[in-house]
Amino acid sequence: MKRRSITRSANELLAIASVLGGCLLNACSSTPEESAVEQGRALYDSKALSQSRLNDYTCVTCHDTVASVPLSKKAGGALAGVTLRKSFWGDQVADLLGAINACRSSFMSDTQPLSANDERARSLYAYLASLEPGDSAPIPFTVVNTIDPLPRADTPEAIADAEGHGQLLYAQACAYCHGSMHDGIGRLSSRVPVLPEETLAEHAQYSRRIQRLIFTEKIRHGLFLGYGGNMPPFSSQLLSDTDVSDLLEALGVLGIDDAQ
Amino acid sequence: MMAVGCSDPSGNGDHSASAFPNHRPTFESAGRRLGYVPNRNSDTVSVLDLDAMVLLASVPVGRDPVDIDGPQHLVLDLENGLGYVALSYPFSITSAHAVAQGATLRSGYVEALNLLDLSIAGDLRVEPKAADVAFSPASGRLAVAHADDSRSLQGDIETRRSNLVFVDPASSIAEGKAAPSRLPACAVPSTLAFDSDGARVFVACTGEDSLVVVDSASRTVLSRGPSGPSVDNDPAASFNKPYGLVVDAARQRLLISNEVSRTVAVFDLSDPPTLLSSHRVVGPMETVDFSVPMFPVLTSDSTLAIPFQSPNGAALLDITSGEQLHRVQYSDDQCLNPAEFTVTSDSRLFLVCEGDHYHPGAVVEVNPDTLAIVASIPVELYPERMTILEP
Repeated sequence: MKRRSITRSANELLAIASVLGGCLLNACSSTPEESAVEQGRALYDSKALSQSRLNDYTCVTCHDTVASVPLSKKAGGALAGVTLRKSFWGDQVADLLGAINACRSSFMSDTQPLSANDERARSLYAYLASLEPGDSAPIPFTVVNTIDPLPRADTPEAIADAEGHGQLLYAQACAYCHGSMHDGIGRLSSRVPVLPEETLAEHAQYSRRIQRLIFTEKIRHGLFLGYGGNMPPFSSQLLSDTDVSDLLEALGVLGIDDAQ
Repeated sequence: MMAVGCSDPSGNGDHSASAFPNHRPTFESAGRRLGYVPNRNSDTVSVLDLDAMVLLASVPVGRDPVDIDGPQHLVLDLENGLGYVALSYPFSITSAHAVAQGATLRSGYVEALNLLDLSIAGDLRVEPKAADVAFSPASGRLAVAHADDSRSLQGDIETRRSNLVFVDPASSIAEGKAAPSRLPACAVPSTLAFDSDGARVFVACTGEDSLVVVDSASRTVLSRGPSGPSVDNDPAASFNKPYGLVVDAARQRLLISNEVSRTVAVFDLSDPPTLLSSHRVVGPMETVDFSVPMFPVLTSDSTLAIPFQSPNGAALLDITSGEQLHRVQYSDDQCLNPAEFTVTSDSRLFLVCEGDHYHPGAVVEVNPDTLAIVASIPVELYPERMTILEP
């Protein structure tokens, strides 16, 4: 723990100080409930929810506060109503704090769980509760375990449509973390690969057909099921197989080997 | 922390005292007989009211929100209000990248659960393929077996042996200060159980085709012997392949089901255990009948109830005379892959049906005399064993 605090980056300390400072100012001029909500709101939008200097995420990275119309393509569900839900992560976690800690551990590189008495946890809860009522139903979240080859559209018109749809999906689902396609402008950090070039380069030893499977696997499994990294998985409810195929069309990951 | 410097007397954090209210269902016994059934492929524990024959809830357990944690067997520590479940993390990865990048076995865990609501009280990392967990109420000790078949290609027998992990007391897992000790006991153990005072652990060592007895206090192997019938100087005829192991502490009997010899071996609990008898379910001669026995139970001093698979069925045998008293077959709809019999203090007989591991299994109550199914409760994916909390 000492080593971690000594090596904490200046940026991280600034982020925490900014959150705490803003909250302290607010705490003295508002009711305790209001200040807790403000503290929680700041944490929600801050990397300071994790104490890891490797963390690139905030809650906003994967979640909206309210469900947008049309629905957002962020990997996590909208958070309004989350305090009223009884299960999370596709019924695999039965309590909200456990779900938050699973996010912090999986994506935010902080394996020290928050306890219910932790001030950050209580503030975050206060903010999330302020979003009620929202949607109290658990968010469907089905992970696609088996990765099968995804067919491409079979006519030039359909391929053009797929590519256009894929560009839209990229903007909705991928750009927040990966930045713009091909150059990564606006990506979360240099640790997030530029798509598709850097990921293809990392897997240059594989055939195009396998590379397409690898992209599919990464979208579907994220860091789980043996892949690694810290990307979230995209459920079948969020992206259909056709959606993923269209994304790959837009990325130019077509699975066509040179010999073909 | 945040309210430092403010004069508001309530600014001490009490404003969010109700943070994270517990929405979990609770499972007070309240005079009921409860059954706890881990579902390996759903990462849940189903809690059943065995008096009303209803499913109260299936509660997620485990540490990973996406991967299969594989909870296999839950044991009860009533004095501390805890249950312990082994998380096996079966290797289920088939994707191109994960396999190519060398995805491998993950360490198993033992998770301590608060019995009231199955919330997680703590966990302990153990070793890959945590296959079974046993707890002794008498000593407070916990033991974990690891069916680590990745070691089975090693040439040296000592290297093939995976560790038994002991935790003493088991409740230290919930307190976050468990200090486990390890003993390389045998190759690919499947199941284990303590004797009545917790002094010895019996281990079904599938990978060595043996029954191993361990002194749980000194962590030493007391004996190794055949897990079933053997023929002098004929290893092939002596091959048993033990899997299910159950101690009937009240009747001072140890029951081991053997997959290859298709026998249930009955031992006494002397040191070392003595084989008293072995029993094989006899099927109709006109069918190819494997009748692989699973976890049996003694329903009386002389009556042995054996569930078997391939085909689905069960049998009653008299262990004194060796006579097969009754045999039934179940359809896939009634009970697919019968796995474990358990008997209650008032002689009701329950059977866990695994199902096909991809669709829900079930717990059924059967008539102890006819083995006919009288009631059924669907659970989730791949149940194998049930632990009963008596009222």
